[in-house]
Amino acid sequence: MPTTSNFGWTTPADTDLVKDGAAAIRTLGNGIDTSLIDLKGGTTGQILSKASATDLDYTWINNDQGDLTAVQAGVGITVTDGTGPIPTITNSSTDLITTAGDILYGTAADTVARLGIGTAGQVLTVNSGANAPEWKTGSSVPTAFTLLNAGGTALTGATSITISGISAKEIVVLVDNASTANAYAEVRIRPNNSTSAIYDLFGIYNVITASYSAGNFDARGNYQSSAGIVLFQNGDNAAATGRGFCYIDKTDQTGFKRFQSYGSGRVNGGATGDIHQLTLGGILEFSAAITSITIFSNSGNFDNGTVYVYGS
Amino acid sequence: MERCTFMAVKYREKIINLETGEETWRDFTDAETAEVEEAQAQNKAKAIAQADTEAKRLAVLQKLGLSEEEAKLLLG
Repeated sequence: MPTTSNFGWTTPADTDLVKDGAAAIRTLGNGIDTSLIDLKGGTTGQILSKASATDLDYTWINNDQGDLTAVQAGVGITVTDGTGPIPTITNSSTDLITTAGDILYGTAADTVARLGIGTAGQVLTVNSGANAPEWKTGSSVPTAFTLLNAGGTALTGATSITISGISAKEIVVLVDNASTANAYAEVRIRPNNSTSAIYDLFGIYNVITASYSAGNFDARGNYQSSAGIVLFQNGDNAAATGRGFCYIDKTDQTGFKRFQSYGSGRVNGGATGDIHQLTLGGILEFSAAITSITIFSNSGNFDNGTVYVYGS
Repeated sequence: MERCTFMAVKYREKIINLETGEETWRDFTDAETAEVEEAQAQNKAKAIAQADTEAKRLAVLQKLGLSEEEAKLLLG
């Protein structure tokens, strides 16, 4: 009895009688039915898989075979058409960026936020809560000084002249031609008008007199003085004046500050001697930021002079 | 009748506020006044002592019959 060439299904021979045709067709159909039994069954989405190397030996399996069957979104990622045929994957974190210079940083696990760019000269630092970065003008970044009290402030009519409302990282005070109603006026600078024992003053203290005396040239050291920064002392004449400079750093910060000062009385107004010159530096044991500068005379009201206060 | 005493304020602080532009005045406290008056007393004593020294120096020069310039030459 002949068979098909590929699967060996039995077919009628050319000489078989017609009357035997029904049986021959049934035999062929049963052979095909038996061979294709593996195609029966399965469910939606399943695919055929070879069960062995034998011809027509199949089984229905789930369509989860191979390297990729679907693309799912993760943190910061969005996916369109994840099961294909062509998924589109987008980094959604970049959607937070709106402006050139933006920086992304984490605000919690698997969470990001945008930090806009700072201004020119700022540096990236950690915020006061120590939980996020922020742009800040660095204390080490030099900034220009500007005159805070426009035109200077006249030193007249008072024993203390205070410039308040100062907001600066560094302060420079210039005292020009300061004079008081009495001789030997000592001119001092008192940040925040403090008379507490917070002035650590060290340096040079020279007294110029009509005749030389070695004792007039000395060092000065006052630890935790309450007097203030002694800028200079005028001479032995009420009309005598003096000039001086004082620099204070870290004035916007709490804690100790550093200062430098230079000042001298002047031989003018009939003064004949006792010109006091001081070159000092040291520490101001302040616990607060400095917001005011007081120019103080220990010998009565000022009657001449100008103070210039610069800040940066 | 109660007697009222009044002491004139001698020393004051002038405060110029850069933020508001406001100018205010404050009278010195007793402690601040005492500080200034003590310094003034010391300065006055210093001035008197210096004047006394100068007077003695001039008296010596006069006694020697020397001028200021001659004394400087002599002392080198």
